[in-house]
Amino acid sequence: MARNTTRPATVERITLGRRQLYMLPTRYGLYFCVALVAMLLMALNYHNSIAYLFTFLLAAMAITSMLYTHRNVAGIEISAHAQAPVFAGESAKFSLHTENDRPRPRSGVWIHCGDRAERLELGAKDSASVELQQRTTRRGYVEMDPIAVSSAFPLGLLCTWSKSFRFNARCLVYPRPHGRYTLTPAAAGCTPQSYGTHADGDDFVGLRAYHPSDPPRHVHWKASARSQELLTKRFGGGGGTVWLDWDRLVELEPESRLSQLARWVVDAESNGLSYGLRLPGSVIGAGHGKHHRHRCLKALALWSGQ
Amino acid sequence: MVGSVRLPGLRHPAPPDHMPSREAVNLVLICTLAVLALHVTHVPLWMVLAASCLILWRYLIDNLGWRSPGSLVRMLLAIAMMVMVYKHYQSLLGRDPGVAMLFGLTGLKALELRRLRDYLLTVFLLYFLTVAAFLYSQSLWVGGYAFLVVALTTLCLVQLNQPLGAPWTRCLRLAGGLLVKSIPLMCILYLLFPRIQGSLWGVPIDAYGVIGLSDRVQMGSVHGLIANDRVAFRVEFDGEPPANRDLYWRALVLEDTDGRVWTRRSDLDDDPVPETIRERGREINYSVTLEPHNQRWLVALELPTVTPAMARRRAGYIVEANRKIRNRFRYRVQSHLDYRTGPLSRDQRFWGLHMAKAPTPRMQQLVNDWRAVAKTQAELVQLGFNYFREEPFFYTLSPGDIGNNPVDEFLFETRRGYCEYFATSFVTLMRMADVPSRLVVGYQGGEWNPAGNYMVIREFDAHAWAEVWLPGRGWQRVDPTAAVAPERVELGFSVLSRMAQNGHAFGVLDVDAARAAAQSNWWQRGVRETGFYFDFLNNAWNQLILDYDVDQQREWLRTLGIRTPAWVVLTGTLVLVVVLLFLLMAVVMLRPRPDRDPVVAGYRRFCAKLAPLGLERASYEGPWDFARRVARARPDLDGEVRRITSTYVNVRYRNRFAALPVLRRQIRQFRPTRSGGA
Repeated sequence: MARNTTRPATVERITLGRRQLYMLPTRYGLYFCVALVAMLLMALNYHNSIAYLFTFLLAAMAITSMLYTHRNVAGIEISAHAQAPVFAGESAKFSLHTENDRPRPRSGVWIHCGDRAERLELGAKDSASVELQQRTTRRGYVEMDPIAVSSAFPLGLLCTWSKSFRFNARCLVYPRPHGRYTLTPAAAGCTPQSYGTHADGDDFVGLRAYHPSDPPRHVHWKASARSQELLTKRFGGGGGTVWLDWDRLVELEPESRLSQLARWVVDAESNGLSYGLRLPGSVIGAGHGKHHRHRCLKALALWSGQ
Repeated sequence: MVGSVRLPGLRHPAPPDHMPSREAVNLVLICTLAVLALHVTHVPLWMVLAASCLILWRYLIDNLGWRSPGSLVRMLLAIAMMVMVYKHYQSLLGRDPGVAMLFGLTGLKALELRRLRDYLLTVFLLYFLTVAAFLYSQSLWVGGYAFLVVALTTLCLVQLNQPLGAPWTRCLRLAGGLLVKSIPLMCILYLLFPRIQGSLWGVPIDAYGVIGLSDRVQMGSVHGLIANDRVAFRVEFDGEPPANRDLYWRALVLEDTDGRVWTRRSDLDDDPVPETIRERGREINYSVTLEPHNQRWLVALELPTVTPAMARRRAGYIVEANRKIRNRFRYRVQSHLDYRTGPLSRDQRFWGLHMAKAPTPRMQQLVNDWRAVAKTQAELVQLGFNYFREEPFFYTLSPGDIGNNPVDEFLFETRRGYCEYFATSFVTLMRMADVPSRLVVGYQGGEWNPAGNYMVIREFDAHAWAEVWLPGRGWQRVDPTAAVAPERVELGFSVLSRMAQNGHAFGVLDVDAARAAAQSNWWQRGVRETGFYFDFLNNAWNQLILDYDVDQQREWLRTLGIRTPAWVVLTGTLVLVVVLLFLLMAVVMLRPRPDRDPVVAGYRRFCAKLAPLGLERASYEGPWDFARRVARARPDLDGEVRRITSTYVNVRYRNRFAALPVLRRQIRQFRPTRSGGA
């Protein structure tokens, strides 16, 4: 089956069926049973036929509601996928896509994820998405917590719930961008020839400190505002590159190094620099842009020694 | 999130409690009022007022911003209520105080409706109170109203469990659907749930009162019944019903008297020597459905010749149930209207001539005159009967007070009265004349219900007559009332009361004139005829629902082939049938329903034609995405698939419904081959 690339890829999808669903009375269901028993005793003791009739009507209603409760949940299709990568410490976001292909609305369905629960209302032949957030602490991939579905529709007397499903949706977590060193040529180990030279051409390749002779329209105002000194855009073809190098940070722990590198990647990208990344065992050539940033951060997120 | 509704002690995902909506309060309050209305007839007035005030208070809290009472105030109110109930009933246990207390608590609970738990407990309390109302009345009307109340309460329950702002129509459909779908299961449970014979705990005395005929009769005692139009029993005849004048429903025979009050013989043995009856003429078979009267007597036409089941014969040709009739009791009897009975025993002779006190001289004079003339006892009886016909006695429903020597005063002074006045005087006179005689009480006549082809006998049909023993003929009925007012016996009491309504006196007109005098206008006739249909409905309700008990259940099971309805067998059958029915319902309710939208259904058919080629549409795939994928895999189908998809999208999303036939034709003609590039 060719996967449609316009939608985020789903890894697994489930359809809730009889085998995945359980049912028991709720606490209120037990109270209701107590009331029913009281009514039955009354009917029995007073030989009251019509009291029997109504007691049995209510009992039959509770039994019939089992089918309603089951039908409300059975057949829901659920798929999950991760949203955009996040930095460690932020919340990883997962989208749960639920689909109802039955001509009947589903009401009061709860999605449980960890200790949180989200209410879901699904129209007839409708689909709905629920966003689930999950705290992250470490870089790398974070697996989605198992989810379960429950519902006490329609009377609240019975509760049906599904067993837990572990979707293999995972969210990429970049290292936390953090470090002492700001992005300076010395620290970042830029190639000397690339810094501070004019280059001809129209391609924007990066920024350098402002010289009074630079034409004002080459000043990168946005970046200047961020770095609090004037920066000039550099143009050129094979211009210089900032190399963000693992080996320059020998005094740091590996995780701190990754955090420092991540900070530089973020800074370099926002400063519009062309940057490359050198890690033990892998080198990512110079570049810039969203995809390049993602490549670098992903490499940092997934780096596992040599 | 406040707690969760999961079962205690079990860890599983469960929906958390939610806060009910504002509308839920109003609906629960309306519902509470509807349920309390079922109880206003028997709960003390102050309790009705208190509960109504509490509900009104809650309404004002929500709508006018009144202050909500704290838990201390609520507690004090509850204690006050309990004390009041105790003072009123001298007890907190039993049916009446229990219901009154629940009634008050329901009102009190309205004040503290806050969390989902409060709401649900109130709803369950309302269900219970609705069913408890049947301890007081089981009429068709109460049943019908209670069903509406249960439906409303269920609507409440559904609404409480729906998300905020769920449309009313949806809640209504859900609640209605649930109730309707519960009816088959309810029937099974009702029919098969094992019924028991006795009671679980002592039924309080307040549950039943003695109703109807009493076994103590004195002048004026039947009077309470004359104004009472409650149904006493209904009769279905196999064949034609006898004429009204032959409808003497015998219930009790009273032989003992102290001169004022007539009672049953105190030494009546339980197992009398069978009294002989030589019946003549045709037998009459009929079924009687007796309303509960909390006594043992059963009614039967004079004289019963076959004893009904669950009953026995007692001395005096009467039948008695084995236990007090506390539920409607249906039995079959056979009677012969023409009969002779056997010889008089010593015992019967003693009681048949028993006198409490010496007669007054003018009574003695009267009897002595008859004895001088009559040659036989039969002639004596005839003279006595003629006395009532010829002397100026009046049949009236409102006789004056009568003093210490009732028979004497009635015979010679007041001369105004109804059946028991005539019957007791007649029996006294006959006993003075040495003719063994006794008083019989029961009902006379009845009204034919053409809607249901049965006869209704009401309390006002109660009657008393005399019975004398004549040599060679045995016990014979003599009804002195017939001598005074023949229309009472010929036409029945309901005609009599219509005559009274039209302002006619009794005993003056002959039977046909009396019937004409009882003519009512179109409005009264209409009311009466509608009444027949109501009574027919009521009777059907009684027989189908109310009278279903151990015996009927046994009978019904026998027709099913279950001959030994032991408790275990019955429970097993019940569980089995319930499970089978439940599975059947599950199959019907949970089966996937074919799509009703012809457009979607058509597109599904189209996809189904592609599926065998390995081209299955994924649920997230839009029609065009799918079409492109098909085109990539099978370029030969590209044109056709593109055409169908375009028509589908036009009909479905651009509302070009006119193209639906085109879509259908295109899909019908679409026959993709298995191998590509043909």
